[in-house]
Amino acid sequence: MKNLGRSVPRYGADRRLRGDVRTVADIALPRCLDMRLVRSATPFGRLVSVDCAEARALPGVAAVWSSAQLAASALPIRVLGSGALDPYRQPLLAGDMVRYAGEPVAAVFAETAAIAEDAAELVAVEVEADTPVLDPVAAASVLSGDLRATEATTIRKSFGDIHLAVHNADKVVERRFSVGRDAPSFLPQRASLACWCQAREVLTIWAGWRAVEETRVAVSDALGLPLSAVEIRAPDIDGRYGAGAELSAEDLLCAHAAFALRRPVRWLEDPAEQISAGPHARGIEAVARIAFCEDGQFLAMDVEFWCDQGAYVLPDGLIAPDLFAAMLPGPYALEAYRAVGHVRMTNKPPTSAVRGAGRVEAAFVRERLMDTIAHECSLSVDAVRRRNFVAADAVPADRHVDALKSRVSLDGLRLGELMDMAEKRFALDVVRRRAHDRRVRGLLSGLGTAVFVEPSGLGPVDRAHLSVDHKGNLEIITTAADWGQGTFVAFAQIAADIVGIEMERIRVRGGDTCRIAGRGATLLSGRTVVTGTAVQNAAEVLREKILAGAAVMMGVPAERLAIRAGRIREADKHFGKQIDVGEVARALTPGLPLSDGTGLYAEGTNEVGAMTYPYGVAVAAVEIDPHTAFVKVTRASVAYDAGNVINPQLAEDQLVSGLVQGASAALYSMLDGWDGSGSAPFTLRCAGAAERPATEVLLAEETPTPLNPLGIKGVGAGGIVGIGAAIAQAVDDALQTPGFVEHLPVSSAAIRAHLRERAQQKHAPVEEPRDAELMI
Amino acid sequence: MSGSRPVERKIRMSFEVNGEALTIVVEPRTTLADALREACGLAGTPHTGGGECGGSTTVLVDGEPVFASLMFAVQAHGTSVRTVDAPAGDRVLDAVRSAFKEHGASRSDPSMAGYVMQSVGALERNPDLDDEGVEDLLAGGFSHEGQYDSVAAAIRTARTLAKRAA
Repeated sequence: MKNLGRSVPRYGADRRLRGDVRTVADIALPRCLDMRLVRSATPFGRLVSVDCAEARALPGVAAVWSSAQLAASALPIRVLGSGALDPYRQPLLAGDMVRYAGEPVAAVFAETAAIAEDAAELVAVEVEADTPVLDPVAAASVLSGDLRATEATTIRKSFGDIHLAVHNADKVVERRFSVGRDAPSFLPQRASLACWCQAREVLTIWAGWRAVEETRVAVSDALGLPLSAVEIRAPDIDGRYGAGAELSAEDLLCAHAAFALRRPVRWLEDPAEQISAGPHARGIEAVARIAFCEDGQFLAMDVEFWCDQGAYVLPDGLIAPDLFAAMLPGPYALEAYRAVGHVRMTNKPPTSAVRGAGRVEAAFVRERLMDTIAHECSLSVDAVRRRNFVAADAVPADRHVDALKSRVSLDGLRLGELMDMAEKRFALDVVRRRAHDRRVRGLLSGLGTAVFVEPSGLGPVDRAHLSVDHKGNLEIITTAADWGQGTFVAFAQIAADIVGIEMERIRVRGGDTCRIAGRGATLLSGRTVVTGTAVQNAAEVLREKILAGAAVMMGVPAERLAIRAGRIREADKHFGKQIDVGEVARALTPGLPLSDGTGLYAEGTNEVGAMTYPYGVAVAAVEIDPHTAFVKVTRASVAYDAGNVINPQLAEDQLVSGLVQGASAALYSMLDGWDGSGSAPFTLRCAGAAERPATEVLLAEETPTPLNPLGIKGVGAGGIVGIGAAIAQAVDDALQTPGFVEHLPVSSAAIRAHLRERAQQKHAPVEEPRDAELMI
Repeated sequence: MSGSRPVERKIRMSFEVNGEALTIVVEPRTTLADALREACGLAGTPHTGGGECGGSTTVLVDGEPVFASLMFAVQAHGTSVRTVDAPAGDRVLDAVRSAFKEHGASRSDPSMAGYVMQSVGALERNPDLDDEGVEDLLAGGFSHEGQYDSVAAAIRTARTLAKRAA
């Protein structure tokens, strides 16, 4: 049976229902120590002293470390790092300065988590507090006691002649937009476990990282161990949607301690630490000057932006600013573009890449600008968008900018058609009319849309090993870990169809460096694209090997053989001799005459040239309570073209969870407005069941990518990217105030103030049907 | 280890977990969730480190749904506790499990362990739980992946399956 394109259930779909899980917290090693961190309560200041004596004296405490006990060691910057950024790397434990409330100052290692917690309270930390830098835009002018400049790096991307384009334009408008700080939400909390085995001289770490091999290299560098002495095992990782699992100071501290103390060390994050300690996200402010013609032609965009990067540049910290600048032009053909981004240090927890990093912000700013053009030219935003899409015949379209050092080149873009499909499938004319009718009756109801393109399938390379055992079971080993998205079952579907073997006989393993080495990283929603293609390449080699072996065994030329359900027979005969792939595997065992020395085994590599670019249309319908100004998203939908889809159910699940998360972040994120002084709010506010929008997903599959044989583009973050921008437009529509939303999350307080002001003017706006059209 | 710090005070407690009588030693501050995980070796209740975390740590104590991370283990002394790790053979739990699986509501979301036990508690108390009751049940938890619609569908199916098995 054909498996590609079918919604095969993910592996272990019901594990959670039986308690069959094995997260880091479930791995019990004898003599394991628990680590607890002492964190700075002060956002900024000179670290005068850390007194650990009393904590060390507590029975059950194995060690207490401050930076004095730890050789100077800092987190590497994995993405876009350089020597110039060294002063901005996060130390494992604060040295001379503390730079955010929540920064680790000392680490306690004790027999139980409870003792560690008690001991941590006995560590006396003295900080000479200084005035923290909290505003990224003003940061450059603030004189701080710190010895590093507040601007860690400047991101520049541009093409075309901006002055010429501005000269040719009918209108030039400047707008300011911002996206507040947010944080991912982890469940279970972050965790790390490290164990040094003296007998084997190997350090084993159980952690779910997105870039397993690069992280392994970082650990071996930090500890001065040969690479072969560091192995990473993949536990169950889930509930991590939205959070990039990158190497953290806590992970490296566990590794250091396990090596130094010769005992297993684990760290289980306390929810009380989560928001102050864990990476934050977003936090970007942009001033965009746009040049356009009266007919709606978008000529040029000149944007300056400031990133509230926090106290340090984390391993994946520069992904968001880089992608913001790279993806800001989106699907629109501009004559000229210039982005200057200031990556600014503030005394807040460092930010990193979470789901939709940089692209959520870019889609919001870009689509707000399209609304601006539409309003200025008295056109519908739909018309302005369609007027400016990169022409389908110009694809592949070089966008003249790099995203994470990979050239942006759109590989298929039929956004106009996708907008038409979304209009029909989601019955937008009905929704629009209903919103209009409700507004006429004095209610605040609106509809908004946003379009976007997504980068996906970032390389550079990934590998897969396939082998068949003596019983005919196929094992796939990849570098990619399964984070619960279900990519493993997609890999199995690919191999099943190519080799011709049943799904039931396939097992997939991944993220385990004992079994495979390679650079694969779960990043930019492209696991299926990058690793899936490696699996495909390996499967093709394996198939040839099976057929060649069977041809000798059966005395029939390979080209006349077929593999169905794991059995090989002559393609044009329904009866007759059949042999199982297990028999071929046995005959190919190394040492036997048929073997080439490797057994029934194949390797596949996928060296990625360019990224793929799926695209989508996000739709949001909102209702605003006229009294409380509470915004409820009643519908959140996305039409998405990710090329061919291997497993529609997995794709839909991804998109739905992105929509719900994106809608929640666009309205409720609590870190917005937090001034950074003291600790961050204890809990993150998220939309629950009562606030959930009705969700709909349309998977278009109209433009399979030519960049890989399966024609897949990757789904990942497609749900979250456009929904915030769509909600912003829907709120404008509900209020009938073009350009009202300038900041995400949308503030109910601002809406209330606006409504009050409007009520005072006493002229309830009389709505013309044309206005309703104008907004959509 | 000796001394007068409260850390070292240990308490012996007995209770029934998923039908099995157990006696364990815990500290007064140990939560029921940690006791189930660490002392009883049951991994189904997610580690939350003490937070309530959207009801993901729900277990049934004498049939009543309780957030195990917000209850001290010693408070469960002498009770009968049921968790998501329970073996097959329980009518309502079996129905809930198969309904969650059928609707793909299980996925990898740890919150689902909580929803499963909340559903069992609710359906045992009221086998005719109406759709409003299902919505109330949903509001009592939190899905990190926004899979509320499939959970709602699963609870409704579980209601039918449990009745049929009765």
